[in-house]
Amino acid sequence: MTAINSVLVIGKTDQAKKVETLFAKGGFAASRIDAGKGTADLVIENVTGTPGEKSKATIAGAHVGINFIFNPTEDKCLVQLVKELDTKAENVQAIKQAAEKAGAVAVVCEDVAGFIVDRVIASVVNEAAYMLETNLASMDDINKIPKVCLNWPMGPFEFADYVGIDNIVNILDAASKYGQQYLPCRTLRQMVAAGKLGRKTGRGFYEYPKAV
Amino acid sequence: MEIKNVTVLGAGAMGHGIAQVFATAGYNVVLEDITMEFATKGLEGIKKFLAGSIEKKRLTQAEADAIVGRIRLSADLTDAGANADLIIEAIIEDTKIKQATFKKLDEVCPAHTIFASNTSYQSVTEISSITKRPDKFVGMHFFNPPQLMKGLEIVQIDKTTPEIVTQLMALAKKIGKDAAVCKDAPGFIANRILQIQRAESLKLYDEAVASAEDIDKAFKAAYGFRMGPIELADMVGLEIALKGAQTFYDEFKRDLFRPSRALTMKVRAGDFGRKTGQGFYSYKK
Repeated sequence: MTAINSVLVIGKTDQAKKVETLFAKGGFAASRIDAGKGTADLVIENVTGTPGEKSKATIAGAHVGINFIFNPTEDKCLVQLVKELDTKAENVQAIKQAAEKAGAVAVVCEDVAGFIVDRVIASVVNEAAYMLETNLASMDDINKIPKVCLNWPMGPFEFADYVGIDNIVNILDAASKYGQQYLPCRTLRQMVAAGKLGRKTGRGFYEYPKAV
Repeated sequence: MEIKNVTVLGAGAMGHGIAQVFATAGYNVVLEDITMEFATKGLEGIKKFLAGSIEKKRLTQAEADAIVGRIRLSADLTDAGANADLIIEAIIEDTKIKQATFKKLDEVCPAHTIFASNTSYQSVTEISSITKRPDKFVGMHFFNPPQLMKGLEIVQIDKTTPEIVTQLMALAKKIGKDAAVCKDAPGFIANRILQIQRAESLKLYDEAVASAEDIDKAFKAAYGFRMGPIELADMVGLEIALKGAQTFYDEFKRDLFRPSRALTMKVRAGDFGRKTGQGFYSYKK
């Protein structure tokens, strides 16, 4: 198994910078370049930060899909290692160990739309929006109940605004190839068309002051 | 009419918890069950909870005594319903039995008495249909344990008057609950959202996208969930989770709610989760 001592992140997004910091704090020889090529025991590129999109991790000349979710409230990070057809188990294991050494929680999954968490969250958001569409309850009440009855960290519409309505719709559209149950509901499509994409545009299910 | 007297039917975990909530908020409570033995057992549960609160210095002995003093036990529906302003039913999850109970209460309760069912999965509309007061009929869905969980779903059926809903929302505030109003649909809000999370997570497991451990770890790490969806199902009981899943699927007939294969097989094998020592995880020592 390849020992990982050095990590190179290629990209200039905020997410790329966060990934570099994660490994630097974990005691790795971590560096980052905006673009181009370079070598290290582990090279991570195409780091977009878009939920549901994977970055490319290269180790010992082979590739593993990788996705980072930085916890919005706590100093935690989830690393989803995405297996591809020819991915070697030992490479997955090496990256998993490195991620855990860096203080992240690393899990392994197959290459499906939204991977583990964001696919489930996208479905939850879709159903919540459908519940709203069908006048089951008010937006605030649908959003509040999972927090006060199930101890959820955010309500479904807060999740939607945080992940981004466009990202939610993209994940649902991709998952729709597996079955019609994932087709995004009318409300979500209309929100994308109207540019109400969540926190990043200042308007989603809720409105956000510019500072957010 | 102002609500002062609350009768809770069923002294199990939910029923006695709800009775305690109302007694703590100063209401006169009747806690009814089919035998005095069951009702007494419920009161013992309340006393045990209050003793714990005294130990944690959240309550004085005098306050606890006053709470218990506001609760009267009964094993007779006629007696329990005679002076009630509000009935909250927390008996077995069986529509026919709930209907028979409310039918009897409809005859013995005053005309103004509001009827509420604490059902989680039965149709409130169907339960109400047997009474002559669907305008005063609602669901009041508390969460376990009612003494601690702040959330409350007030289920408005099509015939419930808006005045009753307004009155119950005000009541919810008085008993310290953060309530929401929703229409009568399977699982209302909370259990329907939870079901999507559980069903979608189990689908990932069914399709070997990830292990149960990794699915649970992912939710906790990425967004700060206190428990993962699969370990929660093990805790709740897989036979209960499957029954819930089946209820949604029967009602909605949507693929999203189709019960998971792994869940079905575990229940068929008698592996119900924590309570049997084996579910998606093993709990054997």
